[in-house]
Amino acid sequence: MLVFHVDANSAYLSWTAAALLEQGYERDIREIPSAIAGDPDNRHGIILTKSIPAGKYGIKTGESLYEARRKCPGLEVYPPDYDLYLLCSEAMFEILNEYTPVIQRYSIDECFCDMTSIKRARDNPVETASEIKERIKRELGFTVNIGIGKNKLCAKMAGELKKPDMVHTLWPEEIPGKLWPLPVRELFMVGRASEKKLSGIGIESIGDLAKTDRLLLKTVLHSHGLLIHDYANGIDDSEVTVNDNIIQKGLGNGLTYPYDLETREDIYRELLALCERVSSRLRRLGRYAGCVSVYFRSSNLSGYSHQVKLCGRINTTSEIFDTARGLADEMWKKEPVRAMSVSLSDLSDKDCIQTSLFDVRDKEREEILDSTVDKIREQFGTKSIFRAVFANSSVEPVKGGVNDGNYIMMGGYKQ
Amino acid sequence: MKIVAKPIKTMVIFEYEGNIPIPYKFKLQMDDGSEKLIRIDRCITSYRQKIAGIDTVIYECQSVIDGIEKRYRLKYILADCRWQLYAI
Repeated sequence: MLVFHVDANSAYLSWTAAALLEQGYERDIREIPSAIAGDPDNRHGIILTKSIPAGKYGIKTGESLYEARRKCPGLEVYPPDYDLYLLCSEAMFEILNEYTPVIQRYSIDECFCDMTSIKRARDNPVETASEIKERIKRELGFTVNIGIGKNKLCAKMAGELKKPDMVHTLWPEEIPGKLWPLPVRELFMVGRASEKKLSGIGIESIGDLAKTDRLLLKTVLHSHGLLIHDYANGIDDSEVTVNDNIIQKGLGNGLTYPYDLETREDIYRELLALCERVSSRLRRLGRYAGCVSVYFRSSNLSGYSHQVKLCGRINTTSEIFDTARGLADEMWKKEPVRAMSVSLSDLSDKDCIQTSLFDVRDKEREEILDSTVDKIREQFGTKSIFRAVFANSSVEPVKGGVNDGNYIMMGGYKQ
Repeated sequence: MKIVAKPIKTMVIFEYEGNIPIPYKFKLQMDDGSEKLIRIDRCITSYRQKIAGIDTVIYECQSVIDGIEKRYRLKYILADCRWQLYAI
C-alpha cells in the first residue's frame, strides 16, 4: 500500500490569512504572532489555531484567550469563518481528487489518499507529493504537509515530522531513525493519560515503546497498549476508507452556553434544541439509537453524565427528547448548568428493530412527521418550521453543531 | 501591482456563445463619495483563480486613467456575483 497524508498547516489561520491577503490586507498574519479564537463574550474564547511566531511565545492550541494575551500582549486575534474553511477544504479535496479517487477526509484539514493504484505516484512518490503540495500552494494560497508511508499511520507520522510546507517519507527502514527518537506523546493515539502511564514504566520515547514487551503494555494499558505498540513499530493495517463507506458508531451534540441555565424550563428547552439537531442527523444516517446519554457541566466546571440503554430503538425527536429529559431529571443537582450535550450510540439499521409491546405512542406517525419536518428544513432552512415552545423565545429552535451544522467533523463526518 | 480589493459598479458584456462575461466599463467610489467612471480600453487576458477556495475570474485590463495608461486587474467573485478592482 502507498498512502499520502495531506494536512493543511495551521489550517484555520492560513486559510484566514489567504483570504485576508486576497482582500488587500497588508500583512500575512502567518508571519506575525496571531491566532484564531472564538468570542470570549460567548464563553468560546479559546485558541483554535495559532501562527508559528505565536507558538514561540508558548501559546498553545486550546488554552484560553486571556492566558494567551498574557503571554503575548500584542497577539492579533481573528474570529473563525467556517464557511471559508469549508470552501478551502473542498478546494483541497478537489485537487487531491484529480490524483486518486480513494480519499478519506479525516477532518476538515486533513485527508488520507490511497495512491497504491496510481502508477506515477508509485514510481516516484516524493515527486508526485511535491507536485500536489506546490499546486495547492499556487492555486489555493496555503501550504500543506504531505506524509508518505506504506500505511495510514506511517503517512500521518511522516506528515507531522517537520512543518510547514514539506514532504516527508516514513518507509519501514526509516522508522528507527525518524520515528523512534521522538517523545512518545508525538505518537498517534498517545494522549496525556497514556503518556503518564507510559512514563510510569520508564517509556519516554517512541523507540522505548516499540521495544517494550507487549505483555507488559497489555497489563498497563490493556488492548490500547497493543495498538500503540503496533503503531510505534509502524504497523497499521487499516484501509483508506472513502467517507461514504465509514460506519458511524455514535453521534452527539453539545453546547457551552453564553449564560448559565438555572431553571428546569431553560434546561428542557435547550435540551430540546440539542435533540432536534442530533436526531435529525441520526435520521439522515437512516439509523436508530439504542442508547442515549446526557452530559452536564455545571458552572463550577465539574461535569457529570447519565446514560440509559433502551429496550427498543428510537429515532424521532420526541422520543430522544423524552429519554434525555428523563436522564436530565435524574441527574440534575439544581445547580447552574454551563454546558450540555446529548449523545446517541448503539446504532442499528431499520431492518433489525425489535418493536416493543410497551410502546404507547404511534411511532410510525411520529416518524413520518419527523421526516417531513426534516425535508421542510432542508429546503427552507432550519428556522422554517419549529416547535411552538420556541415561539417568542430567544432560544434558537435547533442548536449545536459547528457553523449551523455545515462543517466536516473530526473523522470526516458530515454533521 | 498592489492588491486593493475595492468594490466596483460594473457593466459587462455576455457574448452570444456564453462563456465568461467581459467587463466593459466600471464605476469606482472615490474617498470624497463621488464616482469615477473608467472605460476599459483593453481586456488583455483572464484566468480562473481559486485562492482560499473562493472561485473567481481575474481580468487583466488596461485603461487611460487621468491621462496615464494603466494596467490593473479586475476580479469577479462567482459565488457572490460581485466585482472588485482587485489590483492596480
